[in-house]
Amino acid sequence: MIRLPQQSSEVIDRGAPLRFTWNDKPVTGFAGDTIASAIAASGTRIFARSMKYHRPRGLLTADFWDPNGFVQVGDDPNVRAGHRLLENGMDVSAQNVWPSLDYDIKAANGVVGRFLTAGFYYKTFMKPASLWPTYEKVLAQFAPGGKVDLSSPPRYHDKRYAHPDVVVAGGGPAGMAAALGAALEGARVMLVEHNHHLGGHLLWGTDEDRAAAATLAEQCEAAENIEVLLNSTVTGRYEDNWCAIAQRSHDKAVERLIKARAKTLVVAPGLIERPYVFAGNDKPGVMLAGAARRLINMYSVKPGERAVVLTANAEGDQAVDALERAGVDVVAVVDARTGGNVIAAHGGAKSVEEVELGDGRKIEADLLITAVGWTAPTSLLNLAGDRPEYDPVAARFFSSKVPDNILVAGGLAGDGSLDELLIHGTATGELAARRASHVAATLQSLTPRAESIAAPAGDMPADNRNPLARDNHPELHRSTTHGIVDYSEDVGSKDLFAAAKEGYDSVELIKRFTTATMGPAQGKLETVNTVAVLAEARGETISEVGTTVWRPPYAPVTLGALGGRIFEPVRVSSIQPWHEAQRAKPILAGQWIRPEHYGNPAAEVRNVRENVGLIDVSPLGKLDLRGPDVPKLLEQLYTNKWQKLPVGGVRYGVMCAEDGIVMDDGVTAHLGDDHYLMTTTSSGAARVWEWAENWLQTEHPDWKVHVTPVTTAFTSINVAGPKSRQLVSRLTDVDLTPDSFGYMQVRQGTVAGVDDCIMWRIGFTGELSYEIHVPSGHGLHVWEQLLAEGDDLGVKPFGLEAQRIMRLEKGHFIVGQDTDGLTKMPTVGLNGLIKLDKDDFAGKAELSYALADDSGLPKLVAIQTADPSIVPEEASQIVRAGTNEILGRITSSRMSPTLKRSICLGQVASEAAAPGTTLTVVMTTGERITAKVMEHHAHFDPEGERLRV
Amino acid sequence: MTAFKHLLSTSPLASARESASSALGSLKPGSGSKPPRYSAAGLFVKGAKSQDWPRVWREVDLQKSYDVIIIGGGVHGLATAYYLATNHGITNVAVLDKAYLGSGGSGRNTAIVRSNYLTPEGVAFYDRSLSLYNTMSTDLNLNVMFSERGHMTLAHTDGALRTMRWRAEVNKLQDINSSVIDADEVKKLAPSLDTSPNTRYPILGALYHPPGGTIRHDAVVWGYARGADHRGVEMHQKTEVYDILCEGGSGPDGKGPGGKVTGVRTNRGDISAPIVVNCTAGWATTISDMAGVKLPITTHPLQAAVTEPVKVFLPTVVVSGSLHVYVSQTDRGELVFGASVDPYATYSMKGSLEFTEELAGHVLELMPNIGRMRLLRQWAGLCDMTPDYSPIMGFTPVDGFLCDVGWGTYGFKAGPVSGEQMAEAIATKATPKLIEPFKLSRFATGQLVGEKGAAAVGH
Amino acid sequence: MMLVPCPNCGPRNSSDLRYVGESHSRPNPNTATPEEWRTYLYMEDNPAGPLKETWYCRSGCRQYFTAVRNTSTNEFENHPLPGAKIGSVDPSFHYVSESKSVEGNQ
Repeated sequence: MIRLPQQSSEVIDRGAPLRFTWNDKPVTGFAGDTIASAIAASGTRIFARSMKYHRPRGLLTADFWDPNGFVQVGDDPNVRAGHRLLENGMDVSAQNVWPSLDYDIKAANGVVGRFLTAGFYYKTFMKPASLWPTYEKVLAQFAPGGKVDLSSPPRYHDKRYAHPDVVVAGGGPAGMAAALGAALEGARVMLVEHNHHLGGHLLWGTDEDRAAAATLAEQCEAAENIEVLLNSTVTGRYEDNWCAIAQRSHDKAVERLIKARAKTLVVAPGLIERPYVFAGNDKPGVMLAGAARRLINMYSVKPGERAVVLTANAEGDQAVDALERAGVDVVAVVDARTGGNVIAAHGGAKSVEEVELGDGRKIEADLLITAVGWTAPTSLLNLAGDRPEYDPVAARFFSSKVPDNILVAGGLAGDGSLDELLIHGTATGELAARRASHVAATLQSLTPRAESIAAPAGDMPADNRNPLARDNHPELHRSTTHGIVDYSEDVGSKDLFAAAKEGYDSVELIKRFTTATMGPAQGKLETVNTVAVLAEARGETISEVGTTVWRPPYAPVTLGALGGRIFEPVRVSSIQPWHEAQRAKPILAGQWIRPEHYGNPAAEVRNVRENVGLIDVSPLGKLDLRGPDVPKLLEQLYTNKWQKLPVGGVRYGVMCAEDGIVMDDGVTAHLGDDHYLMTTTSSGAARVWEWAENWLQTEHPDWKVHVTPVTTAFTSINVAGPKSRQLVSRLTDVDLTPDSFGYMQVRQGTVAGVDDCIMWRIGFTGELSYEIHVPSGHGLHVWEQLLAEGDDLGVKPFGLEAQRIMRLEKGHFIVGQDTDGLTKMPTVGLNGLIKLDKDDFAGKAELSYALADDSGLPKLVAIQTADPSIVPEEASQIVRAGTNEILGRITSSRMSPTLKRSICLGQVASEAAAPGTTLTVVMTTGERITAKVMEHHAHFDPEGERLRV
Repeated sequence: MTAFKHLLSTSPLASARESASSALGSLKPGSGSKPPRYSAAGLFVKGAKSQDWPRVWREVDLQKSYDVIIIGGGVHGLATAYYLATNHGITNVAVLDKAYLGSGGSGRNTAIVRSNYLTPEGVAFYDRSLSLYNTMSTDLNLNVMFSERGHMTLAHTDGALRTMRWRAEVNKLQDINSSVIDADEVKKLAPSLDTSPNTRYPILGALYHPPGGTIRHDAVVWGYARGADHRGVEMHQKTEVYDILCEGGSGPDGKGPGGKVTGVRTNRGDISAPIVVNCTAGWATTISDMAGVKLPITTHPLQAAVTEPVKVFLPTVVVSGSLHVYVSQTDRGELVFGASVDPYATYSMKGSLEFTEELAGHVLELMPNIGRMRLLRQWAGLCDMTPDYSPIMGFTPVDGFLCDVGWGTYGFKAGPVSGEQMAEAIATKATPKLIEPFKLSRFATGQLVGEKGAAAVGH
Repeated sequence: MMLVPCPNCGPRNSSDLRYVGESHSRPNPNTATPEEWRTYLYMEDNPAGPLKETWYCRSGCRQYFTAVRNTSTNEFENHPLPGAKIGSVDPSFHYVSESKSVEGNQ
């Protein structure tokens, strides 16, 4: 192939040469070239090796769908050379070749091809079984495709939401006319074109075609309410016209995903030319009419010297004109409409050399052009539930039924002159705009609180378009010889016949068995021929065989575009800057990042037990509850009683789901008249809020309660340790004397000059402690004041780890760690908090059954290992001695800095739960140790004397 | 509110036993032909002589009656038929599918197999399945391309790590190769993963299960169909069941508890049979409703997607619970992705854009350097979700009507063992020990299987 | 992305809402037999067709509401209005935060 002299139709800029490398050889192209056109213009014919037989391949379609046009560009694999525009400095190389494109060792597979029929691997490599992993590695060597560079940095991607009235998929004549028609009716339109120019097939057509395309494109670009998106693809139409648009032409993002809620969608992608199946149809030099016209008319590339043209339609006829204009010697025009046929393309490895015709003639040629019909890419319609139907007269599929908010235009809808296509397209656009108004009005009417718009919705505007005609076209799928059906997968018609005979004789089975249509074009070139060959093998019609369902996306989308900018926010407390300055070790706890410890958790524990410590407990879930019926809500959610909790009181409660399984726990304080503050576990905050609303809205809409989440409205600080009273008293106006502010009580007041703090006395750590909820903006100030004022008392911060150790010393369970998704409340040993004499509460029925007989439920118990220095890892299993029968597991374990021995909580079967029972614990090393069930959950201060002082 | 009454008041086992003699009295030996062996030599001979292979399964006329009718021509239905024939000599069996064999979940899953479950009953069950998969290529004389490439479940929080250890410890007690590994070992096994500590969801470690891997799912379907066919079982595609014919039951038309099955009504006419097995997914409740049996099941789509092929770089199966994604790379070089079931119940399999967006975002958090790879295709299958993530297997309150349903997202890996055990249940008229925990009556007594426990533990 | 008709907010992306599930009425916990209670907890109609179900407008008005959706087509057959009788308690509520787990999907 060589570059032709300048042509009026070309889209390349000869004033802008671009230098790049092709398989390490320097090549020059021009701005406007695709990678493929530039390589072709340099005289290259072989672009790739086929997947299985490694046969040399040349350009077939010279566009996005070219199965032989996949190249590696730098670190970008599987680039469509027929579509990607050339850039200066590109490093382009062939894929799937070893050691080189021209000399490929695996081409030997071609010689043994008759033994490697489709699906051959199912029939061999079974024995010896031990060798299969070796075979597998060899097979994996044949994986097609480019290379991912695992050192290539992530690139910038972005997303956009759009709410247009009309999305038009396809910027050919019909799509442009539809966009203009819709815009004239006042609709806001997005016109999406897969290629780099508006115009569709007109671009590689006659001079008149290109002039018409230019005029229409100018009008579209000029129209204020049409947004033209070039090099962009509507990749999917999802429910309620949620349209995915992959925009590859954004100036910053490598690829941008636009999510457009189209009120109506016009589908006008045009038609995709289909190959013809005959012997040698994959030799370099055999190409489709569209490819020849694109190369000549758009890129001024002469595709060969001596051509045979097989034509069944006007596109093929025009290819003859284009070839002759380009100086190609058209030695034979074979007209399929009058019975002409091509039997085979013969030649060497690098090119077709001779074409054998149906009349027996053998003609020397280096180029064979075929124009035998089209695939209708109905993918977007399939997604809307359409099942295409085959029309044997027009020799292609048409949509059968699409929803009212989708309209079809252009080649998918029928045939016609350019004028007829434009008239139909314009009418389609006008109808799309009217239907969009109807959809808008309907959506508006469903939004009671929105201001209703003037126009009444009325009925969906009827389809008043004159339908396009369907031209007769001969059904041309396979010649009298066998050839390639799926170029990407190296599947031939012979393979399909064999598979059908073997019983894989429905379209889905044959696809799965042979992998035909499974490659990168996803059947856009291959499906119709596959179906036709199967129909032939079964002696049925194409309609009887049916077709496969196209799956999204219409064209592949990068993972980068789909993922967009990774947006995973974390939550931190207002004290976080301080924690970071102290180099606290961070730990991820649900959405929160919080300090695990500040260097030495054991020392932090000792300091709390001996002096006083501070922990930032801001992630604690907090719900503000107001209204006269709050006690009723609390009684409904918690298993225990709440009606008599006085103002100033705090109470602990457990929440169960309706199946009696422990869902959350925490304390709730009675702050004042009709006012409570509930705390939940950190991870349960959102869940408990929804749970409370669930009860209030569905079962008890008459209750007067407002639930407001205030987790982040407060910074929560727990001051714990024997010297905590001394410390807090230095900073607050609240009377902390034990008589006026006792255990499980709440007060409100000023702390470190900050008003409206809420403070309560509870004891998760087992020490005297004050939990202070400070309005968030002042959290850091109060934290720093507490540290400054308590310096002489030995105050130090402590992290989550120290808190976990101390709560384990005290035997407090953690929901989700010591309980699991099947833990009913009787397991955790708080049956006294289950008040069956209440009229109702969540989970009551199931808990009443469980309490009647809880012998089948496991029990949560404190466990001590016989050897106090051994700490079994959490999740270590407890087994029946001498067996592998599981009786339970360790749910929490630590070395206690206070008791200087190993301490555990565990769930065990009730038979092994009695205090004093000897347990066998299997360490993660497999070693078995003995341990003992303790009397109390608390290993330390079981009477709770320290926290009540 | 009386859906369970039958479970508590009648013994399906006892009634099944009573009817068994009449049901299976007419057993006859397999009428299929001896299988043509698949082998490299066979390939060579056929290739050299340009001969065709015989049909993988026969096309035969639908008969008026069978000993056993299996509804659903996926892995479960076909495996049940295969083991009925091979293990128990019961061959007068028809497998009915409304579309083509393997058209449901069997052809839509991501083909991952493993046995590192949480509960002892789950481990025992799936371990049996894995061992059947291990020898399947030779057992069925068809290469199902089992790739024992290892299976890693990543832990991004200490809570998740604890759950992984829980699973590993239970697994080890049952001699399953399963252990918790640290981030460095994760990196060695899958260098494309970002194991640095500075990510939003840092990889702290993983549950590593070397015997897990992937398999060619379609080949499993074809292998069982071919094996069953050779022993006389009939496969009938495009045969849709419209109704299940019953008599003596408490509901309308003799359906429901206390009744017994007499056959099925299909788009190709009525067929009589004393035993009808529901091996469907997605439509499990639709089918069991036809017999008057209520199930605790909702139908949700599970979506999956595949990229274009690139040279192989990911040698193991990688799962992240926190990031809701799992990924493996096929020998063809495609990355195959799956995620969680869709959030609302539906029978629509159209798939969604948001699935691909979340998937890609999460995959890129795990492997930030593969953003240039392109998603090629997405699809969906239907999953029957039960309250405890465990199946419903065995006898029902309608005599002769058995279920092998409710597989949620685990169906494919359980196919072989389910077929084996269901065949045993049918042949012996008793519930095999391995599937005892999965009987329908557990919901009435509140004895749920603990597999959900793993999923529900905070992580 | 399906549009879900919230009675207050109008049609919204389904990702803005939480699907609660089939709407079943809650038996009296004081008189329900175990089988009745567990039918409430576990049993589903799961029709391939119109389904009465509860949604929660999580990112909008935070109201629970009942709608009827055809599970074969995902088309809503009614458009609930504010004040209409709203959904029911979710008997499997504690699974909410885990509903997206894929521990076992693979």
